[in-house]
Amino acid sequence: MDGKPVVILLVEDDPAHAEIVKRNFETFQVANRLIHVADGQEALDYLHREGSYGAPEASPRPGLILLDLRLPKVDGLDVLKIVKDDPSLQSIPIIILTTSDAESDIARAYSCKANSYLVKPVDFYKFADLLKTIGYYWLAWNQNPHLN
Amino acid sequence: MNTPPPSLMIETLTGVTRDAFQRRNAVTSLLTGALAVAVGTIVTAGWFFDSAALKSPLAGQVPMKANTALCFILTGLALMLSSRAFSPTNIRIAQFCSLLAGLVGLVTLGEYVFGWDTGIDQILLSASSDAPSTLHPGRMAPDTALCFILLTIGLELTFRAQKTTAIFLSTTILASLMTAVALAATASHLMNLIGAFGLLGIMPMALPSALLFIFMGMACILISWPPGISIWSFHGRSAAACAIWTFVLAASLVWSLHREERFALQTAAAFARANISKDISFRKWATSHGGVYVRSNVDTPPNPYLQHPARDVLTTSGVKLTLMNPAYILRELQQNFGDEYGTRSRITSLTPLNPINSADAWQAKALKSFVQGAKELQEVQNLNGRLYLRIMQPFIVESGCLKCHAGQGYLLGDVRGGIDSSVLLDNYLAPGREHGTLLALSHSGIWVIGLLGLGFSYRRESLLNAETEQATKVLKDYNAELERLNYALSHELRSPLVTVKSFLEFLTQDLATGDGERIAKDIGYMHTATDKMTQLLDQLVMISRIGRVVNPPVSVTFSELVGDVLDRLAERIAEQEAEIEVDQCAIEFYGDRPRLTEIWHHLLDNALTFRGEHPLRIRIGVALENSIPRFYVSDNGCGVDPRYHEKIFGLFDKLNAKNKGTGLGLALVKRIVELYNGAITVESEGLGHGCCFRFTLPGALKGNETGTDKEKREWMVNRL
Repeated sequence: MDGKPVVILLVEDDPAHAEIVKRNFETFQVANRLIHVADGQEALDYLHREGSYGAPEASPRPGLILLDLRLPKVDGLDVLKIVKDDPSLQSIPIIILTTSDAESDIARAYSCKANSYLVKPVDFYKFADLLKTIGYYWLAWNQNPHLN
Repeated sequence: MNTPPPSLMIETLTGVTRDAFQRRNAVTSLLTGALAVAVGTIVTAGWFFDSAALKSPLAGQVPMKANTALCFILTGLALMLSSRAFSPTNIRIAQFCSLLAGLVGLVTLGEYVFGWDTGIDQILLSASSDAPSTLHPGRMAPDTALCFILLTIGLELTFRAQKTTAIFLSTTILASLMTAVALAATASHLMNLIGAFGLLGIMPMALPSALLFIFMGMACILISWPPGISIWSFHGRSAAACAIWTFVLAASLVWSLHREERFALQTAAAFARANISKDISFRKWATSHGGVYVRSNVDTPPNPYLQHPARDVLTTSGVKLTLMNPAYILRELQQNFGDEYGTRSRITSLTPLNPINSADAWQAKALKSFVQGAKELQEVQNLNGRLYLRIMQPFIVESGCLKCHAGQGYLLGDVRGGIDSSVLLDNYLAPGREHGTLLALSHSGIWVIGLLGLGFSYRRESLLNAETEQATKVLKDYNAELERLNYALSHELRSPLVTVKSFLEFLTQDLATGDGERIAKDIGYMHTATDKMTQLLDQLVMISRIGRVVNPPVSVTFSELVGDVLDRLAERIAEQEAEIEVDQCAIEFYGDRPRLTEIWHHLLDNALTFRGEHPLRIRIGVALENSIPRFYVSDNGCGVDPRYHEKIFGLFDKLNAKNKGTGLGLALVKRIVELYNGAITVESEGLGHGCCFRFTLPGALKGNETGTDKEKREWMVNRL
């Protein structure tokens, strides 16, 4: 780690959920910059630096992606597939963060090389705990690949 | 969710199977065709060079006719051509070749039945080159002609690129009939009988022809076999039943005809034996008298072969008498009065005193067999185109015989010679023929009735099968959708719950700090979430009602339906200042009025929601396409990206994250449209270009409501 905290890309279509994540990260003082995109197409635009994310300074490479599955325009699984098939992006750890606990979703997410699969708990404290753990595990403990 | 469509996998699988199928068909056509062409060519060469070995490649008694060989070359070529990919030219040549063969068969059959003389028998070779034993030189056997007609129809059917089960079944019936005829001919050859064909006074087709027909029949069935149908499947079993029925009836007919023929032959044989016995008793009588003196004249001159001291005597009254020995008496009887007995008999010997009595080839064979101990020999022979039963019995040397024949070294009990009696079979076969015709007619009748019965049960079962398939498909669709719904519910309902729970907690915290702005925001998020849950529940109830709650069908016009919707949405239309244009048309529906209203309601609602910046204009109308009314709702709103034209109809599929909708509206519309056997599509050039939803409702049109549609719908409803 070069000391500079990695950028987190949050792909979440529900603004309320995005707000929950944001507030919890603030509470737990996760210093990383959180960038929120609202659908799969926007996520891809960001990662490919296309459309409104044309300038590289506007779209710093994320060190971690929190990805919801059911997304408008381009589905979460499709985003996952595209990222994991792209040699320049595939090393970014992707955590699926979704309300779906369907077995088929879990199986498909892992077969598409998701790095982790987390189900949003309905209970607030559990959700907060989960986000705290993500902060500890993925941003502090875990050695993430060096990204350019 | 992007589930890989399972239909795609089935497509690819079928693709592979279809390839294997085409290869198998090509190989079958090529090999069978090549075999037919090869045999045909060999036989044609045989006629050309007049080689008996080549004319009958399997060393049968009956040579294959030159015409038959030509037709085999034609049909074989047709099969080989069809084995190539279906290029139109190839198929046209193949069709022409097989039609030509069928035509030869048809004309030949016409010659037999109506006694025409078209000269077709000698297209290849002149009459002289054929064996003299046939009544119609060069003419192919009638069963061969029949088989070529059947083969041509079968080939024409198999040449169709579309392999339907109807073609498969027809080909199977034709090919089994052809195979049955060929098998009957084979049987009559192998059992060395004159066979069922004897009744008609004709020789059956040559053995190689019969075998070729069997091969080609099998090839036709194989080629017309549609891909993906196993022999144990319903269609496979139906085809097998048709084939077995054909074989059973053919076997029964052949057996009955054969029995008729045996009966005729036995009667003829009994007559021939009686005749022989009569001849023998005459001869014995003459022998017992040491010959008989008769008045000699021109017709009965003294026997120059008789060595007897008192052969010629002069009576006291001056009459010239000559001694007739037994053989002389018998020969004269047989020669001059044979016709009165309806039979011709002849005495003969391997060592005759009178050369007139010398044996022909068959008689010589019989006489040799008598020396070996045989008591009788009989055979049906075709002499100058007429069938004869020939029976021969030996003459055993008795003491009286030695008076004349002792000089030849015979001993008592030796075979001196034989009597050959030929009976013209026509008279004996006539009643059998009459019976045979009746048998053939009744068997054909039973065969047709059986096939009709099979056809009826086939139709019934295939209708049932189709219904079951349809039902299974509906169930599968519903299951898949239920699964999707189940999954989506867990996700969609949990999501607002997460929001409410979390923001309740944030609210508690913010109330403690007294941050007014945050409190308002928290409450706002909870409002949105609960609103969404309410809407979700409402629409879920609606979508589940499509199947369950059926309002009694009523007549309602297009204008009434659209009027309902405009009334319901009047407030929003006014709010959006939308200009709405409705086509006038006289279309009348018969169906569930509230359900039908939902369609226009959701489409109009969508148009009002996804508007652009400019004044909103919406058109609701109908256009006739191939005389089917196709409804449309078009707007100049924000449009739909072409990439999502399919996706927008899915459950919970929303294109716009900021959209407050549940993603159920269009799914609902699609389900209602499909309930009425219709289809819905969306057209849009992309974002900002407006869009147009087009849909059909065939099951809801008045007068179009068929019983099946209704039943199907009720069926689906009952099973939900």
